[in-house]
Amino acid sequence: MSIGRVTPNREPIAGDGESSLPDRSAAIEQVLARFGEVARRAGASHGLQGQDLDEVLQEVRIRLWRVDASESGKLDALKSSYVYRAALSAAIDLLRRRRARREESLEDEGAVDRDPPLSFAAPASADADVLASDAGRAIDAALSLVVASRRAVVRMYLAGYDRQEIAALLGWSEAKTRNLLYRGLDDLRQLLTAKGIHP
Amino acid sequence: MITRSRETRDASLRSAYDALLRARAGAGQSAADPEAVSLERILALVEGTGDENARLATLDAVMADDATRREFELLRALATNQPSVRRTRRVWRLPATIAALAAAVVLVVVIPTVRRSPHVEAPEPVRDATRNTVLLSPPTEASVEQSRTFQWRAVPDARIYSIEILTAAGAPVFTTRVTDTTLTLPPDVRLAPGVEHRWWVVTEFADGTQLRSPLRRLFVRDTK
Repeated sequence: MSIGRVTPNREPIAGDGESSLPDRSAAIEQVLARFGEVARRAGASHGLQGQDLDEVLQEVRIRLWRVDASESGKLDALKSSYVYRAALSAAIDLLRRRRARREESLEDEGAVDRDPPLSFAAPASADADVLASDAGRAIDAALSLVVASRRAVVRMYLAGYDRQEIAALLGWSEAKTRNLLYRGLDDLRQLLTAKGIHP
Repeated sequence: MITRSRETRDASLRSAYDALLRARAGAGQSAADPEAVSLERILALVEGTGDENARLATLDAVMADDATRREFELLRALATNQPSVRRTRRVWRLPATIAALAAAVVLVVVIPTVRRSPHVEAPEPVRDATRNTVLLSPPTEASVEQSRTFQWRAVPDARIYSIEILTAAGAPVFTTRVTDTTLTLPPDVRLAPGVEHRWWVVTEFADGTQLRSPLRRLFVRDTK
């Protein structure tokens, strides 16, 4: 799905002179481009595709254009904190709508989900995946026995995140993260080995 | 006896776990506890607010369900733009006489300076550009092995470091944020030999200010 930009002239801003529209448009686009680039880089390595981000940014763009320009300096509200809160709010609204639709879909049509929550690149399944998912179930069962603080870190690591990302998310030092992760992985391997599985 | 490396064993664990999540998603199953994965709790997780045990419980639930992890990933990606609002609190316990002297110095030195420059705008949140972060390794011409580890000198009071590796044209190749002063690239990230890259480190402080290192060239030698 391609999402276009808001055309400023279709969304006039009260109390604003024609001459300031191009400046404001450029300022909004500049802020959104910078914001989007940072998010895109962070999400790209974990399969997040651009269209979801574009949808959120489009919503932020609309909100920024609806800001009442008669309140001078509101577009100086193109400050990072304002845009950040607007983006998070738009994303939460988007996810909430999708969850609601998903629940409705499940109620109406049994277990068929016609509206997958977000678009990610998904590898094709294969026989190897079936075998791997058996091993995955064993991993999942063993993980339930691992201490909670280690378990969360190990799950995040197994889901494809690196130590630095885990440390940044939890506000931990690299050393603490490494310690909990490696201990958790060792616990997991011992539990699997005890069941005759040698990962 | 054949001993597999930690990376290889981790890769097989990751692969099996990934297959489990995809199998669950394909079957429309969800292992997530609805309360633990409420959007408010996921938001608290990505913004680092609230009780740590609650955040760990949410993280555990999020990473057990692929659909929820995708929701988390959108919020996490957006949250990388989070402006730092935390401020370092410094308690000044100077004796009154020293404080008075300091105030006098400020009056004598700063005020005339400000008057000479009445239209100076507030500076960007970047600290003294002359205080560069010192980049240590890899060297500007590095072997494939050397090009996997990046090191720089610690900056006092640094909260976190952002490292960016770019193509010569400025396109980002890899970026991450770390609290340490060493970064080893993940196994799936390899810088192409024979191609020139650039890298730099942005040091972030608790008060939201930043310090950028100079951009450094990195050329990975082709071993063929």
